[in-house]
Amino acid sequence: MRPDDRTGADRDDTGARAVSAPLGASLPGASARTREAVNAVQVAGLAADAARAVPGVAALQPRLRHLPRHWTTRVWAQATGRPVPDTAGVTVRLHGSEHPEGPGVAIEITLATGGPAPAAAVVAAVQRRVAEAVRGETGLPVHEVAVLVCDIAVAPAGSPSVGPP
Amino acid sequence: MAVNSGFPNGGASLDGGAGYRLPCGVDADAVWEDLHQERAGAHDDSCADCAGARAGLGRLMAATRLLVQDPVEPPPGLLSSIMSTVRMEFRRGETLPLAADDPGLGPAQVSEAAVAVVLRFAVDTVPGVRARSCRITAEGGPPGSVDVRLSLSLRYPQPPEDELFDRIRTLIHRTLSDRVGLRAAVIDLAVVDVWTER
Repeated sequence: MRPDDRTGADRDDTGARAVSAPLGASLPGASARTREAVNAVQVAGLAADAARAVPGVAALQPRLRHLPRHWTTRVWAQATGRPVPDTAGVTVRLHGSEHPEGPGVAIEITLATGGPAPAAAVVAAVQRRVAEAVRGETGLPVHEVAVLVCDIAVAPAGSPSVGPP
Repeated sequence: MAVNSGFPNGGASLDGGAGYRLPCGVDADAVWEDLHQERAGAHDDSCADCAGARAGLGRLMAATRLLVQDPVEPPPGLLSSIMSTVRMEFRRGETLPLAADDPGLGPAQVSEAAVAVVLRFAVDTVPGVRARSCRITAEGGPPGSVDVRLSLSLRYPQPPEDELFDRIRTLIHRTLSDRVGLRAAVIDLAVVDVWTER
């Protein structure tokens, strides 16, 4: 685990103790598999929202292995009663206590960038914001936020179109 | 022939001709049919074998009904979304490591094909120059450092080549840095064609 990882029990701005936990932990009577599926969808939804909010992220791009997700999204809808979040472009692996870094999550995001900032700066901001959002909302340690830029808009948004003469 | 027989109390038999038979002698198919038709079975509720089979088959029936009733309507744009994903997977090609602010947060990568598109687009803005193939590799260098090999087609006549190549190299350096966040350690340019304007 990274030394700066928070553990789910942190002090907020007022000094009060705020406890966050993954949603699956609060489901009464749910099986371990259901809890895992719910936690994975929750983390993926948080990560997708945080990534999309970063300036310079044009879109999240689903990969082929992201397409068959019917089972997990159905479990999410049945267990939580909430609408299924848009998690396209995000893969989440939940690590158990047997993992060398202990329990936590590894997140993989595929995205396209656009705008004036270099792709590397956008990626760094995505990694930071996603790790903060997931840790803050779920209390789960974030082991990794791997980001792949699959596309870069050829002209920055708002700039005059530059083309061949 | 009986595949499995001789279960006085604790099992069931699989009879090649008659199907799956419960230890009490009732055919499991008959229990399923009774359950499906919502009618009483051959044995009453005091038969533990029939009651157990009905309970198990009842759960299976409920789960099957859920699956049947589950609306699996393809969302709008599903086909185009799948095709776009497939095209992206083929287009992505090799990946190049980006220099990360915080390497502890995990790998940061960019598709070589995406960078090549950006570079070719930039080089095409130079009058009289068309970018052809573009390969970008990151072998042995630190993260964020790449080698670029670009083939070009030039209009004839052109200004002195050294001046033109300096201009293209400067453009590549600037585009890699401003748009991608990479640094070019090597830029190899090769003129593979010339063309004239009539």
